[in-house]
Amino acid sequence: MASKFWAASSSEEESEEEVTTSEEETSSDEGSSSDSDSSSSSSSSSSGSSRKKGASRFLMGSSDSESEDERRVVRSAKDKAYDELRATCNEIKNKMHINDWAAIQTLFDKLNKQLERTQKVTQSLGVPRAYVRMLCELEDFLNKTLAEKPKLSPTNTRALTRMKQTLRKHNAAYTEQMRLFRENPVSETEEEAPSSSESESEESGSERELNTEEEEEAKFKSVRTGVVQRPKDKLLTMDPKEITYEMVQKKLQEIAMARGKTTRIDRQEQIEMLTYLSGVTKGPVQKLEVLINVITVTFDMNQPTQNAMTVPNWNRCAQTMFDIMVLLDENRHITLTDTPPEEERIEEPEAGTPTQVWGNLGAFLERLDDEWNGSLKALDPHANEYMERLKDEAVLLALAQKVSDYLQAHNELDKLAGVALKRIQHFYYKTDVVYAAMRKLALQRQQDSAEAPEAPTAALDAEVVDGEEAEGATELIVVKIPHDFNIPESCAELVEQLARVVYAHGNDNQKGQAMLCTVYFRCIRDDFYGARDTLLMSRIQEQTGQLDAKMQVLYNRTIAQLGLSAFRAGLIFECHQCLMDLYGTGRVKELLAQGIQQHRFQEKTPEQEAAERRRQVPFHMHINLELLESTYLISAMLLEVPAMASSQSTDVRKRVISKPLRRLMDNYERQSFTGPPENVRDHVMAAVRSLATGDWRRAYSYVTALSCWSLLPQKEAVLGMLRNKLQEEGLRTYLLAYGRFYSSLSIAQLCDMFELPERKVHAVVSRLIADDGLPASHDQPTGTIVVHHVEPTRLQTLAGTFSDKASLLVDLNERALAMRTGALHTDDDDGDGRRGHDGAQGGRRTRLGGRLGGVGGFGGRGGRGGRGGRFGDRERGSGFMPAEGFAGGVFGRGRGRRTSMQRDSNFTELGQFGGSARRGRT
Amino acid sequence: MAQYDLTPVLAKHLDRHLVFPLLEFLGTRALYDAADIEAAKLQLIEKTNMVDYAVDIYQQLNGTDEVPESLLQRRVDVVSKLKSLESAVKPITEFLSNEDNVKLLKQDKTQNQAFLLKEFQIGPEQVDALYHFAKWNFECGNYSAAAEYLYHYRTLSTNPERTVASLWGKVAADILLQEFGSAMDDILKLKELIDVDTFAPVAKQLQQKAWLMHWSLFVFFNHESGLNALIDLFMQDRYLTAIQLTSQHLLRYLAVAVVVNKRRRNVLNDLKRVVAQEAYEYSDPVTEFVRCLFVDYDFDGAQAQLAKCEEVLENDFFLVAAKDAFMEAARQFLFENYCRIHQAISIRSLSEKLSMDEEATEKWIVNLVRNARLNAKIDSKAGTVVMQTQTLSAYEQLLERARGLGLRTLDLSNAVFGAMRA
Repeated sequence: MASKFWAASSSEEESEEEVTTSEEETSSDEGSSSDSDSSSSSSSSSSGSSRKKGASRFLMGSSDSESEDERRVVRSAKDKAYDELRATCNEIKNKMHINDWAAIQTLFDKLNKQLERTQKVTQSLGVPRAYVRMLCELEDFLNKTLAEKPKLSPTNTRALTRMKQTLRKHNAAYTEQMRLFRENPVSETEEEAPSSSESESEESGSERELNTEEEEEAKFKSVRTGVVQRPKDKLLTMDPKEITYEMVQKKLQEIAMARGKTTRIDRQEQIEMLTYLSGVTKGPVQKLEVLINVITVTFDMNQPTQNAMTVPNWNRCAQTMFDIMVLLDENRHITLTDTPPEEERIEEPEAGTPTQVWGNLGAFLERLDDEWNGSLKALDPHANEYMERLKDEAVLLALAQKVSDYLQAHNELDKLAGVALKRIQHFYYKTDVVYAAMRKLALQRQQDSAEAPEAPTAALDAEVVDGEEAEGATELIVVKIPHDFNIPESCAELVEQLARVVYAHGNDNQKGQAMLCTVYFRCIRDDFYGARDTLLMSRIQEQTGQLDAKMQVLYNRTIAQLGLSAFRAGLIFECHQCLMDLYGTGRVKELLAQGIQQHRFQEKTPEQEAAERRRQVPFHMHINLELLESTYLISAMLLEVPAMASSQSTDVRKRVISKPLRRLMDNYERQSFTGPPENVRDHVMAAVRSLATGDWRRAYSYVTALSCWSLLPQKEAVLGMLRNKLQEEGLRTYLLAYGRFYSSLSIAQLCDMFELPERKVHAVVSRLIADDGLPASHDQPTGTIVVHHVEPTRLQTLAGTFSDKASLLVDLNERALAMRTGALHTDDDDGDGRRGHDGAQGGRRTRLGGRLGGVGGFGGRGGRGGRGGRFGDRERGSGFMPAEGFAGGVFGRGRGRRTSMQRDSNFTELGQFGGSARRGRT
Repeated sequence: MAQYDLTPVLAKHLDRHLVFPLLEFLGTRALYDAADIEAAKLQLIEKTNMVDYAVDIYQQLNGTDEVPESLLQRRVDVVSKLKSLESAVKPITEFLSNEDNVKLLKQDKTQNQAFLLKEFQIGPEQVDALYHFAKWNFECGNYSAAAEYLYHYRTLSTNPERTVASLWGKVAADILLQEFGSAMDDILKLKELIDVDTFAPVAKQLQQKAWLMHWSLFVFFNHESGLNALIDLFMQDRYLTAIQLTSQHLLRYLAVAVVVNKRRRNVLNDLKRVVAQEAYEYSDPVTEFVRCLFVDYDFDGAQAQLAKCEEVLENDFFLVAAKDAFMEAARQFLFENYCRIHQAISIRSLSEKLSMDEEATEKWIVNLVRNARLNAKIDSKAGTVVMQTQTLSAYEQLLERARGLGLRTLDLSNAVFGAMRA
């Protein structure tokens, strides 16, 4: 279209002009908005102020402006946004010339979108002057067109009427700016003569310098908030005595109505208003309402999914919560309810009458807790701020205690369970040392706040008196910890007590979480058996697939700790069982939510990534991955190396115990040159190679060289245990690998080689002979081991192979038949194929029984149920008896099947969030 | 040795009256102070109605002839209660005392109820009274009467809960009367009832199983086929779990039963597994012996434990009778396992391990060899036992592997033909 071409070229010309004037325009716009209370000062003069040299200029710059010459070199995002905006304005102007209302309409929409973007980029809520001008022009033109009623096409007429409506609605928000603009359309002349603006602004700049310091100060403040300053509310200027209940209530309602409506409200201002109101309320009920509103408004100031609450805001919330708690404590007749009151109060209820006020302390606390966690995630864990922030935990705990006291007193048990769970979540990962330190800190802080009780309130008062300084004052808020906050000496008791509360009143999810937390808690206190039994009792491992991501993470963390605890206790097999699935997937970081892993074959959508980021565990709760990896690999090594030796010597292919370890070994062997070990894997690989030849000493030295052992408080004991295990497994490996090359071995020599007492060697050898089929026997009088191994002849070997193949063939045939006839033969270990059908059915039934038991708590198969429920009469576990409804109430297969249970748990499906990662496993 | 005494643990799962024999037994051992035991007895008896006996013990304990006021008062209460109960059950006891009447009763309980009400004016209240009366008798130590009344009550009662309770009472009474035959039957009945009742809360089921196992100890160790029954009961999946969950100390009895019972070698593997699994929860010389011998192959350890076992068994109410059998069987086990992994053993060291002198050891070994349990020869010049190791030759191994292939193939082909025909 010709017109389009023309329009494009013209807009280009004009936009160039615009670029030069943009600076003045925007800044003048800022100025005009800032000067709304003193409208006498012209926009041109205020534009000069932005160019003024000195400190205030840089402060102003924080909102939007940059120096002109700089902008010419590099076009920042801001400038680009402005330019685009302006280009659209020009286009609209062009369309106005040809009366193309349909185009105007679309362009207007585009303009509004651009405005939004501009505001985002410049991080100000101010409106560029160009936009206001456009609005004015559009309005004028619209009125003109309506008055003239020119002949238009139907589409255009329709667009015109629609435009009329939109504009009317839209302009309502900008009446103030438009009025200002119309009063003072100087910039329009500026536009006509852009060259003059330079000198003009220079002049005004010098003029401006004469202004007093105070004025500048005031300007800075208002500019920074970046919104139109509303005329000061008359409430603030009124004599506090004259403020009635109704007035406060009205104001409150106004604020409540504004909630969630638009982003254009200055929440800071609302808070100032509310804090002021809280000082002039007419009674505890109203004060409570005001305080609750303070909290909700503060909560609205950030979006929890995007960024965390600022520390001052957080502190304010916490302090307000404390105030609420005190207030509630003093006025026992007031209770909080979830449902908002149906009719509003007209006057303060009389003291002593039971009153209900809207508010949910549990939810507030939860949000506060989330925000605290969120802010921790946003901070650099190695910086000092992180530590500072961590110290606020005491505040949170004190608050939680207060809230749970309140909930207990008012018998709100379901919420109480939620709060108890939150409290557990602050304790469960703390070792005794950490807990003691935290306790000390909390007590210290409590003492401090007791000594200086007036300071924070003074700060609050100051805020009330001078709303302008609110921002400064909030920085000063130091949350007091009330004097009656007590943090018990023994963490274990506290956790158990809280867990009881959750078990008694919580829902399934909460109970599960509390249970996992207690298991974790026991793990880090080296109570492996207690932890394992509690975990198995809950049967949670059967439902890991159905858990939500957060709980899966918790589950994985618990399992990891269980493994570590087993390792410390010297239970290598159990340790390997626990950690196997975690490491089998190769995505440990993701499973433990301790960092984002990138995968080669899998692209994550931004949503997935954001979700993952949100799940992350704060740094201070992390499980050391290096330690975990060493633990896993070493336990795998201790199990795998003798197994490998045995399979090599007997030609029987045994099951691979640890796939990750095997993979590492393959990699290692493929390398042509191997340097000295550097990381955990290198070390373990080196140890594996030494141990495979029975050289336990070198293996031990490699293992001890790992730095992560220093993280263990009981380092010596663990290393001693490792040494023992290495000696034993070294002996086993040695005998299995090289036994057949001896006709007899002296026990004394073996003792010497492996530095083991004779009794131990005897026991190890005996077990090898009896269980693992080492073809040897003791000769007691001479103290030797006689090996009976006879190498089979070639014919014998071949015959053996043949018979193996034949039996394999029969097996396969049986399976094929079973498939055909419908009954799938699933039981691999069952060598006897004839039992296939029954076996498979039986297996299925067991599984089903387990499910039933799991879901219904108890029922279905009574026997199964009967075998479960380890809690009941156990003293040790008595506190951990979730109610019957708890899905994990029974532990189905009994402890006899423990190992197999762990093997076939759904564990591997863990953390395959959204089911997307299944293919990783297959 | 008191550390291995299970009486306090067992007592938690037993009826008051059943604890009594345990205490009596302890009184004959020197494990505890005699006065302590008497005091325990008194405490035990105070809650029962055996007031006269309580008075006796009290006097013995305090060395006085005085009778405490509370006991006197209690005696009066008991007697008066007994009187009132007696009058309440009079019609029914009269009815039951006549053999012919009892024969009139049918299988169907509801029918019986109607019949009794019509013919003898015996309603449910009287039947209930019978139950209470039986209970009262039991509390008074009148076990035979209690057993009889409970037996009749069970035939008449329609209340399922009470029926179970009466069965428990019957078992207790039988045990205390030392009628182990009928007790055994009742135990089995009780077991059925418990197994059927799958809708009870898990905790209750567990508790009942634990109780049943504890009570059955009295029977199993006194009945001739008791050990077999014990293994059968305890090795059942549900009961084994109950042991693992609530009463690991029962493993001692299970272990003894398994070791003594030579015909039940097949359960040995289960025992090994359970003992090893529960080692962190419970261990005593008996289970330790099993663990050392079968799990760790620590023969010296096993030997040491065996020596302790003797003492433990001697002080265990239930096991004292099985002590010799156990020691003998355990020695055999030890020796067998030892031989299995040895080529040559000197008789001297063996005699030390078995805690016998050399002569006796030699004799013992000869006996074993003669009974064909061992393939061994004694080299008397060197003073050693030489084992004839029987490793399978390659030929035999091959046969072993191919065994059954033919049959399986035949089955397979039959199945194929069957499928084709169908």
